[in-house]
Amino acid sequence: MARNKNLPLTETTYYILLALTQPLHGYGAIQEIERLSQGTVKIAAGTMYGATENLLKLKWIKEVPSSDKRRRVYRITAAGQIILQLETQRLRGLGKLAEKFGY
Amino acid sequence: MKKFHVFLDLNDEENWINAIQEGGYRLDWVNPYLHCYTFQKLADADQFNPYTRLDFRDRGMKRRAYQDYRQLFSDSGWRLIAGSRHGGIQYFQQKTAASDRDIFSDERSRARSRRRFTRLSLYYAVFLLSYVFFYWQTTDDLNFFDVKSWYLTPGLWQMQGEWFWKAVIFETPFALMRVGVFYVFLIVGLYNLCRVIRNYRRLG
Repeated sequence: MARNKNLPLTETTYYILLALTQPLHGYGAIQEIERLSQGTVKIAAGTMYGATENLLKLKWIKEVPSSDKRRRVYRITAAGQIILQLETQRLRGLGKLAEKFGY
Repeated sequence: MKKFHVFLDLNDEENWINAIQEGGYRLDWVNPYLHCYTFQKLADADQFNPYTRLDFRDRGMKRRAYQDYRQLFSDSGWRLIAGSRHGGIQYFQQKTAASDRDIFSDERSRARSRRRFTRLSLYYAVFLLSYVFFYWQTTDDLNFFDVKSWYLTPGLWQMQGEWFWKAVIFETPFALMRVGVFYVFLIVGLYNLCRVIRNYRRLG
């Protein structure tokens, strides 16, 4: 079976897509990802900005209207959800495989 | 304290700034056209030596997009000290000692920023140097490397004494205008070419 050419995702991309299942601005996503990862993943500002720019280009996230005039707010799109699902299946498959080897 | 320095590489520039800051200074302002860096000596009470980090934007941003860009850095503890929404190098400085140490948390995103810089330098070098080449090829009555041909006054070089000097001084601004664009484009074009040569491995 041919795999989607965008897979595998980087850890940063995976976390951003997960965080943006709710509408958040860039810094909100950084904080949410830090919380979700129990403080192990702290994305820096330049990395976050570049990643959202790239995800907007891929149409995996979109800008949504908000009352905040100074910060743009984003949310995952249907295309983004499909990618997130495919990547999760891939990771789950790897996990199951590793279990068979006793890890 | 003002310092002039021309860099071909963003990492060299960043390291140079941070080395000076470690000696008890803080970068205050950068003039990107004159390559002039203004540093402020840290007051005794103010013992915090900040890091300054460079991002590069290769295209202009709408006012709102730039506001959002700056706000994201500001929320993360970075103050923009120099940079324009029309593109170029953006200089960010830590607001407090507790701010992140870097504006990139992985090598991939840093490499992307550096690649934008190299690619734009390549476009500039190609555009400016082709302009210089065609301008040079299509201009017959002007030899850019022969100063005398820059002046158009008939018989100027046969004039004597006071008249000669008056005529030369009068025409010099016009002569410089005639060849100015050629030399500015040539110098800026070669500078951009040097930046590409220094960074070409990053083009990939």
